[in-house]
Amino acid sequence: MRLLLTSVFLAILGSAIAQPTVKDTSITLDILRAPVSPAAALAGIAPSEVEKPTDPTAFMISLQQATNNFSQLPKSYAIDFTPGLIFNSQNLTIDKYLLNTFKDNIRQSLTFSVAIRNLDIDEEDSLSRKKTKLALGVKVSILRGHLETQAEKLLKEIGELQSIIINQAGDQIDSVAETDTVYQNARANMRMLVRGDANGVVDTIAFRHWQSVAVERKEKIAQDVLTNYSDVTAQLRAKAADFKIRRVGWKLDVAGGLALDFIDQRFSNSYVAKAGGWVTGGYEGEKGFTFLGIGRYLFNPDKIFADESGVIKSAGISTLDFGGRIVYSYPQSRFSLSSEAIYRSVLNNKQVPSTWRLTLNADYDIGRNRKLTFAFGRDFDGTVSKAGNVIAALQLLAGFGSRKTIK
Amino acid sequence: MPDNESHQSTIALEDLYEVSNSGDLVSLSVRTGARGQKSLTTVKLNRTIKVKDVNGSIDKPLPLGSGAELAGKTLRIKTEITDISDETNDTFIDVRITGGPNEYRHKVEKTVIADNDSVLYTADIEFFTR
Repeated sequence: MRLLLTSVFLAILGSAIAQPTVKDTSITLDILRAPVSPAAALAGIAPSEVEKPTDPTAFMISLQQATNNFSQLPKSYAIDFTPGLIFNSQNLTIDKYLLNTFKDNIRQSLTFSVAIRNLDIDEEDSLSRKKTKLALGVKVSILRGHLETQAEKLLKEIGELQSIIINQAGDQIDSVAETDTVYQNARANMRMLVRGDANGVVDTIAFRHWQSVAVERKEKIAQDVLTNYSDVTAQLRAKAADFKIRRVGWKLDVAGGLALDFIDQRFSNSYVAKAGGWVTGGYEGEKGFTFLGIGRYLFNPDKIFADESGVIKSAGISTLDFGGRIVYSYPQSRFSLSSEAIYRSVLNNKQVPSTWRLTLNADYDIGRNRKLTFAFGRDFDGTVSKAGNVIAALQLLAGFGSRKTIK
Repeated sequence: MPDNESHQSTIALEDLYEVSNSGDLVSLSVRTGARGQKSLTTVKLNRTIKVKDVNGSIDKPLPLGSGAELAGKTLRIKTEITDISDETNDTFIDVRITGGPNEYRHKVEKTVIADNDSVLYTADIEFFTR
């Protein structure tokens, strides 16, 4: 760690030129993240307006309402749906939900998004023609990471408590029921009635009556037995409340979409108005290192990231932006580091040059509430800034981790 | 279905299932839910354990025996479902038995009142022949 620290500081000190500048801190890597709903973003519909049905009924109701009972195209409508979750997903209990195989990841995360917007007058169109915007998008998590160790441990403990309930308490419930006359009488009547009369006709009403007697009695017996397990059920509840899903490890998400404009709302008169593609990947450690990389391609973006001053118009423009973030933070470690880099470019216009930005923050706890800190930044315009107390503490730095007398 | 203060409730399923007096294999599957919940299941035939502490659903049909072997015996299913999902408070078990003259399918469900509550499902299904 001493070597790493010294190398990092020396490298930074060597390259940094003190030029105090005011940096725009609002631009972070998060600006490149894929939108929640690619289609809605490309069609200009707010994320809060996107319908997200979770079962087939909600899916059909959403479509029915948006289309006025399937009789017309909606004025403005966006929907995100995950077929693997909408259909046949109710038994997706936590054990399956947490699976991290390629097949399960695709099935649980492949989300299609559709957005439609009818514009009577399009402000972006100089001829003010009527337009229908139709956007289609897709998102998928190829790698989702695995459950963090603490949550895994909690899940195992919940399972152990559940096992006590179904096995130990379960056996007691069966034992009590075997000698309970009310229950046994109800079961005997059910047994007799289910075979029917001489013609095989079952008295359904009588059967249902004795069935409900057996159910009520069994639930009473079970509840009485479970009162002896109140400490187990209390622990179960507490552990369930503590359980939170946090996935760690390798992650990779891909998203993309395109928006078509239909001029004068005619199907035969359309063009690709916007398109976008996003790749987000990285490794999230439970502690220690975490790194993230994002790449983004946009065609006809609303705002060109690399062109802050608005030199060029976005029509026909393609942009490519990417960046990364690395964070090192360990509870017992005295050293922490975070760095973020962003690169932005316009692919098919040379008026705007590609630019990049780098920020780096490092600190080392030297004890007694004192820290060595260093911040380094290079902004998109090439200006470099640095801050911190590293230079003032250089003499102290020389003695890191050593008990030798410094001469 | 009484609830006690421990936030643990119980749901019972009491029934009979006709099997043919033959060598036809009778099988069981148990779907548990809802999405994101934690469930654990043990299945017995009378007092004999068929499977113990199964996490989640029993999707692959579990062979129980032939109709002739099963007649007069009781299938006992115990499933504990704990609400750990942020999405829903619903819980259910869906029992399916095949191999008799008719397929058996019965779903019982409960929505827990408070987050993190648990439900113990007990199902006692006796096999009979005519």
